[in-house]
Amino acid sequence: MNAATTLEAPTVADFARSFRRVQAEIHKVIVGHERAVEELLSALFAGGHVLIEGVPGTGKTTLVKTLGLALNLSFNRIQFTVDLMPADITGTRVIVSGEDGRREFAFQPGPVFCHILLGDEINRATPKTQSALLECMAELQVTVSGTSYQLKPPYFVMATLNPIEMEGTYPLPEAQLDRFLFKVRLEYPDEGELVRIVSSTTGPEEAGVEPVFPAAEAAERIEALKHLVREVMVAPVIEHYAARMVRATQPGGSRFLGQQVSAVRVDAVDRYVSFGSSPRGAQALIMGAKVRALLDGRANVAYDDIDHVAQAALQHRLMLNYAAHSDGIEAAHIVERVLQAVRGTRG
Amino acid sequence: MAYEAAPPRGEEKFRLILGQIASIRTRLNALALQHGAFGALSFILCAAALVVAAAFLVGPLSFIVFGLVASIVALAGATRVIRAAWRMRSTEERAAKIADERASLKGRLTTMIGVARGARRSALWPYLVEDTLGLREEFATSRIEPRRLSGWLYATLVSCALAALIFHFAMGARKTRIVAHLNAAAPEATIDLGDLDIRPADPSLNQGADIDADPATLRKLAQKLSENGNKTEQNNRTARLMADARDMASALQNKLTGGKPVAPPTRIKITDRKGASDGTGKNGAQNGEHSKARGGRNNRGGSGGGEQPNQNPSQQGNGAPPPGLPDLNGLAALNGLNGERSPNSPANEKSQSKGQLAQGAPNGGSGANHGSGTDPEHLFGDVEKPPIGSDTFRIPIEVEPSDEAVSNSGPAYMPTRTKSKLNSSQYPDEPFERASIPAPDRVIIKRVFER
Repeated sequence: MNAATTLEAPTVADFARSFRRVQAEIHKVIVGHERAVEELLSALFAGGHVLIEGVPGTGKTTLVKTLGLALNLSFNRIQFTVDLMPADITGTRVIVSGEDGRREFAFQPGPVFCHILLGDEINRATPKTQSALLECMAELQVTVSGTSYQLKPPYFVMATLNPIEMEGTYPLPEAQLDRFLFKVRLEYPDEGELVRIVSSTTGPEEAGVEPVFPAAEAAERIEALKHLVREVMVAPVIEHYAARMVRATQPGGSRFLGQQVSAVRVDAVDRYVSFGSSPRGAQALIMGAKVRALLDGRANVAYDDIDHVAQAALQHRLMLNYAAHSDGIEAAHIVERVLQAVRGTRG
Repeated sequence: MAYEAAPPRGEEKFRLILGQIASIRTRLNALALQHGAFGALSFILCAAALVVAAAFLVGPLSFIVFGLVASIVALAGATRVIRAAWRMRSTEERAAKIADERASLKGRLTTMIGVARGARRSALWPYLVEDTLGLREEFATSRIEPRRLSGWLYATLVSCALAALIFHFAMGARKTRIVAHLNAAAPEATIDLGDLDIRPADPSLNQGADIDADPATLRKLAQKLSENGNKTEQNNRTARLMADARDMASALQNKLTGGKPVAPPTRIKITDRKGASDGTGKNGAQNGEHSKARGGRNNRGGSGGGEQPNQNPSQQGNGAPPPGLPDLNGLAALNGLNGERSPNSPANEKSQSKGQLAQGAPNGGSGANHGSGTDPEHLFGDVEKPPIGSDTFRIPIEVEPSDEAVSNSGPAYMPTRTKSKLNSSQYPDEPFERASIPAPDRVIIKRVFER
């Protein structure tokens, strides 16, 4: 009998308990960033990937490493550079000598073959290499020389973006950006947090992270929790609310909208957005909201859950125009305006 | 042996929740119904009360305008309230949504209602039902909607009170007006046939007049009427429409107020100066032709008039017109009640004698025109000055286009209404200031009037 049959289906309370435990373990190492950690874990349990934006030294790599330790899952890190090739991350066929001395091609898996992958400064790699991640992220498989190799679930990609030193970088293509469920921003720590960081990392003892799940069943437990998230119920009115929100991110004159006019028009969107969120944005809203609902001990999604995850789910999906850049408008401002407008349609 | 009730299973629990939502829905719908009914009733009652009040306070044209405005406002208000009530009506989903919001259930009920109709129920459905049932107290009907009666009920009660108050005063005023009209004496006037300008009748004026004259004068009047009979058709349409509207408003107003049920006919004594100069008694006609008959009636000392021929047609014969002349009885029927009088009725005699008094008392008329001061007992009251304020007196001049224009130089001039202000020493209806009479003179004046 395998482990899958022995595990009991998790309950809503199990989910909340596991989530909080992982969160607590991460915060043993990571100082502050409560919201970022919560969004990171939400994306994990929602089955998505995360784009982390933050200046150097804010603990991006540490965060991902700690997450891997807390979840007791395999963890790899790729430092993206200009000369990084797709084969460097996906793996490649190499000539190996057999026992009988015959040489043959064998697939050598790349660093993507793990449960948790950190793509550090992903915008420094060429688009070709960036695109190599697409298949991994979307289909959980790697195809090399016509052969597909499956990745083991759970598979969680965290890519970091350095918002400074943009010279010599390749902004991520929209298609790839859209594949990240959330974009998490790591803010610069305040003075109190800095003191805590200094005191906890410069002493003789390092904070130890205890795995929440046993190694043998970690992947399966996490998959079960991800399945539970999908069981959370969503009322039709909530689905319409999320759909209205996503449509409201599209500017009125967008040629991709067709003849239908958005029920909610936001001036800021018309003015500063050249292209709004894709339908994946709505999926991200609902999945993120489901995690929120479970954390709140509910089996149903509420309006507030959608609002709570809107920033993380939508801001990286908006393509801003030159007017926005010249006026210093960020996507987060636009999402805030959209939220304000759509809240009025709750009815 | 006591048995514990078996815990309700999932579906039964769900039905319990559905029943509670249905209860909430019923209460919300009852409130919406009350909102619509009481709201509309309030508007209609208020408007009706104001229209009744306006019937007593304003003239016919203002009344019709006010009535229209009040009706439109009432209709618009009632429609608005009914529409609001229609929007307030609750479906099961809406009731669940309202309960979610008011009990902070974070969409539990909405989700249950929405998901229950789906083909597949989630693995978390029992959890949702159990969780929601645990919060049953939170969404009890009395907590979601404590009101059983709509706030509009109070508005309706206030409207009812207002309507009752206005109705109470209206009934009182109505009775007073009816009594006043019943007691009103028929106004009397003496008009010279030569000065009588016969025109199309103003529809707003009460028709009917008691015409009294000698047969020859009546014959001339009939001729004059027949000559001008065709001119009535030439009224312009706008004036007719206005008159119709005014009639309608006036009729409605009279119905509401009880005022002007049947105005007593004006008694008109028609004289013919030309005809009179041919016979006797022309001096009296000249002096008293425009004096009011009331003045003659009150004048006790005016009985010694000049010689007056018997001009009452009823005393000359049977009252039938001579051949070749219009039917005077018909004329009388058209204009008033003259033809209905019996030849020897006291009223007829009184009317004739009144005419004689007016004609034969050159000075009596002027004395009588002192009006209410003619009673010797009340001659010398304190001089009561009516308050001087911003009072004005209005001189309404109403004329209508007539074909009897002096020349054929286009349509007749229609003057506008004028409103002139009084000067500082004028009082309404009293152009000259009254003076106080010295005490010694009072006795003399009193004696004169007693004589």
